Order: sequence, then structure tokens, then C-alpha cells
Amino acid sequence: MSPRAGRDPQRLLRWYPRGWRARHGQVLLGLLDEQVQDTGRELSWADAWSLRAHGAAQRFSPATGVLLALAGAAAAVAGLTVLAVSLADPAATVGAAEVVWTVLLTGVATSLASLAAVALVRDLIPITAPGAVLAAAAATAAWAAATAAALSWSVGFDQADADVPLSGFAAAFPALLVAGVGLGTVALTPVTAVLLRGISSTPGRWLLAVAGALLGSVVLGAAALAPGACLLAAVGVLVGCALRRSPHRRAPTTASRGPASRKATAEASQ
Amino acid sequence: MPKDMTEPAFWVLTALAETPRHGYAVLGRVEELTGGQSPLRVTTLYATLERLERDGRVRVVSEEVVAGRARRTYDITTDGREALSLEADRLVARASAAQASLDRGRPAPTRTTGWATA
Repeated sequence: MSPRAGRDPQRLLRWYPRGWRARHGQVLLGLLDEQVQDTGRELSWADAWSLRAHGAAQRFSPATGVLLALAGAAAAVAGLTVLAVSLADPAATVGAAEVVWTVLLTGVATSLASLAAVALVRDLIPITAPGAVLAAAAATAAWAAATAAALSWSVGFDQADADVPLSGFAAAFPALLVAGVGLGTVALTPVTAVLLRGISSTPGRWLLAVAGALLGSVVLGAAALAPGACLLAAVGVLVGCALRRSPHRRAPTTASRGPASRKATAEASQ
Repeated sequence: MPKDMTEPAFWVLTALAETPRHGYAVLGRVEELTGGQSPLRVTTLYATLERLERDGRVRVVSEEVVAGRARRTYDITTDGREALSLEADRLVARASAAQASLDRGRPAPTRTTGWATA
């Protein structure tokens, strides 16, 4: 019986990184195959989505975090350079193009640093795979909304200065700001919920988790406005990811991974 | 309280504390232990085993091919036993506190008088 579209374990395994598939792919496929045979049912829709989420989350490793944080730091430096160059000439004023480039580069930098932070958080605390994927997606969307909000405010400021009516984009500033804070809250909630897992009351834990995430979202958004804050954050995450990917932590716990421990048993025929 | 003990990790360590098991046997044992209320999917199980192995709480003892399927058998380590023991103590303490509280708050049995029941 061939699996239904979207539920083929072999295809779903491609959501995992290549290196992970090489080390664990056959064992995971064996587990899934055993389950299908044992229960007589193909993978459920939920199983398929769980595989996608775990595969996508697996891509957020400290090694990937280093690359993302490096790219984030580079974008932050580029943003600061544009700002510094435009401010270097005391007679010149900062033009619209410089503002747009600085804001866009800062937005890219914060997004990349946040994705790197997800990789670090995944390594540090037992956040679920769907939680990590949600955090990554929502953080990216939050910074996109925050970037749009910053540009919207800038356009609105110029229009008010020129005494012209606000454009639709400029008028959208409050909505974009709320969207940014809301998405930031969504991104941080899976993390705060894990940090507060010692609280036994489930409603209390989630209430505090959302409140903490909301506060964190506002604080991070405000901090991103400070020149250099994004660069500092990217470097901090970079150092964290670099420390967490040190090879001594990944040493095999047993010599069993070697060929000597692999046994092709005769059970295949049983 | 060992904060890093999630429910899946607790059940995986509990299943492995008895004897080394391969992945699907862990899944089956947790299903039995939880009376069919297992919090584990295959993906969660694998992610949990991977994290526990990385943290030195379980180790791979063998890899083999059975009926054409790759199988990895895991065993609990000394660190894993210690962590599970701490978590079990914590759960026992919580259960005892709850039971004591219930006992203290138990309403007194209704007093019946000879007159009322006569």
C-alpha cells in the first residue's frame, strides 16, 4: 500500500538536514515503519506535520546559529556604516534613502539574530519542535512588521513636517506597531512557557508566559531602536552558538556507533 | 527541582530504567506505563532520545538491522538514573503534600444521634 500524498515517510524525512538524515534517518524510518506495520495504519496527518516540524526545527542547530548570527552581525555593521557615513558630513542632512537603508538593514539583522537565537534556545532548553518553528516564523514576521512600522513612522514624520496629508502607509503606523508587538509576543511565548514550566498551574503558567513574552517583545523592539544594539545582540548570540557547538559536547557516548557494534541479525527471516 | 525533566524525558527514562530497549520498544513500554495516555509520538520520542543522549542520560548500546529496519538500542546511564530518581522523589513529595492536604481538609463524618435515627 503506497502512502497518501504528503504522508510518505521517505519524502517527509527530507525536512531534516542532510547530516541528520545520514546519522539518524534509517533509524527514524525504521521506527515509523514498525509503527505503521504494528498499528496497521499509515502515518496520520498529525504525524506527518510532526515530522515536518521536527525536521525544520532540527535545522536550527548551534552550527547554523553561528552562520545566521554572523550574517546578522554583518547586516548590522552595514546598517551602522550607512548611518555613520550619512552623519559624517555635519553640513549634510540624513536623506530618505539613508534612513530606508539603515532601517532595512537593521530589520534584516534583527531577523537573522533572532533566528540564530532560536537555534541557541533550542540547544539550551527543551523547547518543542513546533514551538521552535513557531518562534522562528513569528520572530521573522515580527521584525518585518517592526521594520515596516519604523519606515511608516519615518514617512509620516516627513509628511507631517511638509504639512501634507498622511499617506495610507504612514497612517498604518499604529497597526504595524501592534502587529509587530503581537507577533513578537507569539514568538517569545513558546520560550517563556518552557522557562516557566516549574509552575504547576497550567492556566497560571500560560498567563505568565504570555505576559512575559509581551513585555519581552516591547523591550526587544525598543532596544532595537538604539544604534549598535542589534550588533551587540548578534555578537552575543554568535558567541553563545559558538560555545554550544564545541565538539567536546558532541562526543559519542558509546563506541557502539562503530561498525563492530552493528549486527545484521538473523531476525530478518523470522 | 530538576527543571529540565520534561514529561517525555521522564517516561523515556522510566522505560529504560528497567532494561535497555530499542526505540519502538520504548514507545510500547511508555504506552503501557501510561495506560494508553502516552505523550510520545515517534518524532517526540526520537527528539527526546537524542537530547537525553546528548546530555549523557542515555547511551546507545547497539545498532542492528532487524527485519530490514535499522534499530538503535538505548540504555540509561548513571546520570540518567540519578536524574530520574530526583524527579521521582520530587513527584512523591508533591503527591504526599497533596494527599496530606486532602486528608486535613476532609469533612468530618456526619454525626448522627440516636434521637435522629431512632
